[in-house]
Amino acid sequence: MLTAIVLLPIVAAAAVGWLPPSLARRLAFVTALADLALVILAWLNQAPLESYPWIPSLGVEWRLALDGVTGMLAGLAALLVVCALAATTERITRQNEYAALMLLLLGFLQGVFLASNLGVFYIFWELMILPAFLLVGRWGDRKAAFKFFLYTLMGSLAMLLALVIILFGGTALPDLNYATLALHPFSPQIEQVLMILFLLGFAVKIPLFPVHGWQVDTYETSPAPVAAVIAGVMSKAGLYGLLRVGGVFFTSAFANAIPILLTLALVSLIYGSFCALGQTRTRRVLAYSSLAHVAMMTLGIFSLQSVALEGSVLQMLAHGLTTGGLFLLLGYLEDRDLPDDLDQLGGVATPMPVFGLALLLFSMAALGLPALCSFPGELLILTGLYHLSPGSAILASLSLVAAAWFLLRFYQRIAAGSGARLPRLTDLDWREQAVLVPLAVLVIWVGLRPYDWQAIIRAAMMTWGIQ
Amino acid sequence: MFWAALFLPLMVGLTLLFYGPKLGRKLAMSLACGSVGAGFVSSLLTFLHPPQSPDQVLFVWLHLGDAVVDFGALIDPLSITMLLTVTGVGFLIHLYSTGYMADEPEYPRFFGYLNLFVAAMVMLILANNFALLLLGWAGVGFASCMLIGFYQDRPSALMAARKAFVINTFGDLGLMAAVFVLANQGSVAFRDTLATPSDEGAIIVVLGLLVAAYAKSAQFPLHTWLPDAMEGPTPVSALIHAATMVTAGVYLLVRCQPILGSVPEMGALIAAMGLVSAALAATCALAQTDLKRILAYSTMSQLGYMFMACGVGAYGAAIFHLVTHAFFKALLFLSAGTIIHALHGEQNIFKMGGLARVKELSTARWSFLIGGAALAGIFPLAGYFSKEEILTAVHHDGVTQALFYGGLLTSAITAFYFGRAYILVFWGDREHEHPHAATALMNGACWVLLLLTVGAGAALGWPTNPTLEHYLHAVPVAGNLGEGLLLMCATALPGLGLAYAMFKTRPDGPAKGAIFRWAEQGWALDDVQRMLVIRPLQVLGRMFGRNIEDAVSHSMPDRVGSTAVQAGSELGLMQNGLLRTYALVLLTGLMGAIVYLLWQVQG
Repeated sequence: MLTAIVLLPIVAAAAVGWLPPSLARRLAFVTALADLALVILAWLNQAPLESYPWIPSLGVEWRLALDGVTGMLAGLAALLVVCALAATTERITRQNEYAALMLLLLGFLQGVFLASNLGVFYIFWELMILPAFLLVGRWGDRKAAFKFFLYTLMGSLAMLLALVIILFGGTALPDLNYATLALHPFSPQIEQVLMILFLLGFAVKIPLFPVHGWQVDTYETSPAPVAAVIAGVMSKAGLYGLLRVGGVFFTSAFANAIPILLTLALVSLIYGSFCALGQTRTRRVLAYSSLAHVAMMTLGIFSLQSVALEGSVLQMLAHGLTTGGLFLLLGYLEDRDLPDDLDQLGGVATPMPVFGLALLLFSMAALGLPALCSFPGELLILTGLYHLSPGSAILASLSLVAAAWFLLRFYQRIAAGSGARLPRLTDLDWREQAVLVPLAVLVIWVGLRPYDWQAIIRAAMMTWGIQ
Repeated sequence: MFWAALFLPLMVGLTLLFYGPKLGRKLAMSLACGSVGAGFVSSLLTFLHPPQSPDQVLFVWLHLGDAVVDFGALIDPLSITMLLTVTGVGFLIHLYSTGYMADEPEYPRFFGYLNLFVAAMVMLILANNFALLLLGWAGVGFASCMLIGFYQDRPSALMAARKAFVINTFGDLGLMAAVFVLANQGSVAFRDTLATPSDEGAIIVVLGLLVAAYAKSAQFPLHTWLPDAMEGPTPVSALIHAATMVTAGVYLLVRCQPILGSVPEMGALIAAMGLVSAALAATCALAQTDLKRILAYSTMSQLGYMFMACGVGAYGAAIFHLVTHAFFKALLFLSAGTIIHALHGEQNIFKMGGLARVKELSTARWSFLIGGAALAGIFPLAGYFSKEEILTAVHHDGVTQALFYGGLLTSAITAFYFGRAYILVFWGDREHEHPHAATALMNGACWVLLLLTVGAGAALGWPTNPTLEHYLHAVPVAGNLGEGLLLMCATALPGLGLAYAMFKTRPDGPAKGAIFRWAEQGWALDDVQRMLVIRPLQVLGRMFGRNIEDAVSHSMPDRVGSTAVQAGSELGLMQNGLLRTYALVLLTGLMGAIVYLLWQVQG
């Protein structure tokens, strides 16, 4: 069943690529929906670990496992791809290729999340770059795609090196299964080197300052549904990797470096917040606000406090929902040929009240308004961080004030105001609204009853060995 | 039972926001008023039949480490008092709004957020722990922001909304800091943290609570958002920025009195800061020309008195003044709203005048007079009893009499600025064409508040029989009617007399002195804030967002990237220019490298 979750979109992609465009998008949508259903079913039935031999000489086993955390991320990936495909309009050319690449991206993401063997994780991690690169390059901007590719390549090489060291650095591991890695005692020097290499690999994807350069261009130029998936899910792949590596595999090396790591994340957080303050373009506000938010999750992971780790995972879900939702909403504006300049927008909520409410919901959720999805995670992260370093927690919490400023400004500049300069606009149609409904429901559910989700995360992290 | 006061307004609020226009005006307004009215009834029933156990838990909300956060309510005399005040005054203001907003096309949005506000305020009052308190605490800030910015074609309203939201979010951090400390000590529930306050970290908790309270209650130095908040519709100012939300800071301190008690040295500071706010705001109020801004500064000033009471440990007196203030200040705002409504939006008191002769405004005139007299502390109105009680408590505290005399002086200034406003608005012989008449519901709401303003003080806090303080189990302040009347003659009457002497001839415009203008600008504290906080942040933001970001993410990597691509083209590898080919080449190369490495090692 888990294998099906990974392979279904990949196999379907091959078929979708050859279909006529309109049919292709529909089939891709149904496939992604089926994938989501599979994730939910596997989650409800507590699907057992699946393991088949693959490349035994390198310790690589086809080994997939679904628990609370990986299942949640896989579900998020499928959900966002479903929403992105449903939100894609005729404005996207060559829809068969587009839909096939989206499905490939989904399949590879599922591989990254469900893998329970570092080799499998790495293979999917690398594969994931290809469809993302093509999606950004073909339907967005070439230069941005190259930038994305070069940055990612840098991270990938670091990870490859780490893998080589694990395999042949005299550690004598029987295989690359997560369970083996978690128990294996590495020598401190090797562990430190591995930590640095993995950190570099994940930092590019998350992204963290100063290796975030690809992010703004990619988020700004790619089609909104693609940006929603990349910002909503792909950044979570980096955070998820960091959580595994830092929280489980190389904990002692990470624990020794806590002051440096916290500084790194704090710098990124403050940097992102400041950059977001002065932006005048819609997508750029979201890009820098995302930079700050992922830095907050990184901070939670680096603190290695179980409370904060739970918060980081909860926040991954929350951030995926809000960022995904916000990018899709910006896409709706672009479909109506509105400018992306905050100074030229305004008053959109008057002709488009439903859009206005949705934008308000998702921006408020993103800035951490209590009773919506981001607040519980932030509270958990900061409470855990406070235990370790009160100063860092206070400093980090100041970023919430900045977020209140730039996200409320973002909302007001788009939705509020007189709107006298706008062309005639029609409000969201049923399809556009339907795309947002599952996201909105989850935004409110996670905010009002966060313990439903925290309990799941906590149970999964116990099995990883995080208490 | 009491949960109805939370969930009914919440559900109706959301319904109005999403489906308001389809419901029609009558149904939408009835639902809005009905749900808050039902909330009041459920509060009343809770008052009459309080639940067996004060802690009422619905479900587990979150685990902050070892600290379990329940979604639960704490029902005690304090929360019931607050609940009755908020839902009661809220209901009256909802009724009033049906008239005030009768011509507003966007009424569903107005009532939707007004209902959300009531729900958030009830959440704030009910919460049985600090984390859940934050939900209501930030929720009221959000609803307040949306209502301040209700007239969204005015840029100043949107700016004021954002200012209020940001300062209040800063205040939320104070409460969050308290949660961090307490959660790491094992519990954020009131029943644990207040029963046995820990000394460890208590100072951080207290400072956090104060930051939160100062921001929410518009106390110096976090008060600058309140005068600007008057951009919102007047019923909003009455409900949120006078009667309920801004009093949340006082509620918080009263609720947390055991924690404050564990750091006794903070008491004097809190009282002194209270006086600073009270006096500062009163001096600003006497220079304003905008009727609503006078009332806004007056609110800040009266809240300063409540903080003074908290500082000297007179928590019962603080809540007593909170309740009476809710009545008379709501009354003042509603009558001001009727006047502004009648004059088609005119808010400048120098352009009013002669309104005593307008028949349609007689209710507003009596309301304004009685509400203002209560504010000035005239016997036997509600404000008299509660303010005297605070002054008596400050007098008896004995730390320093400077606070007491400062409080007396502020009280005289209060009487003066009310007298000034009343004379300028109602006296004189200016003619007004076609004043807009108030509806029966608007006047009705004013009459109920008027009765409360007249009667509630004597009923709840007669010096020899302080009913409210007995109910709250607070230590009553031993007041004395004779002394109190003497104080009134020494402060309020001279203040009113001076106002009469100076304004009986009704000058045409405000005084021109530099000091006067300075006071009108709120002693330029807005500019100080802009120079010290906003400017530096803007400069940093520009530096990060443009200069540094440009170097780190654009010029440097772009140069590296284009060099690489150029090198590739010169090698003649990628001349066909298709992105797909580039990608495949790069990817194949990468995968090849991996496979090669793997094989290499395997062999």
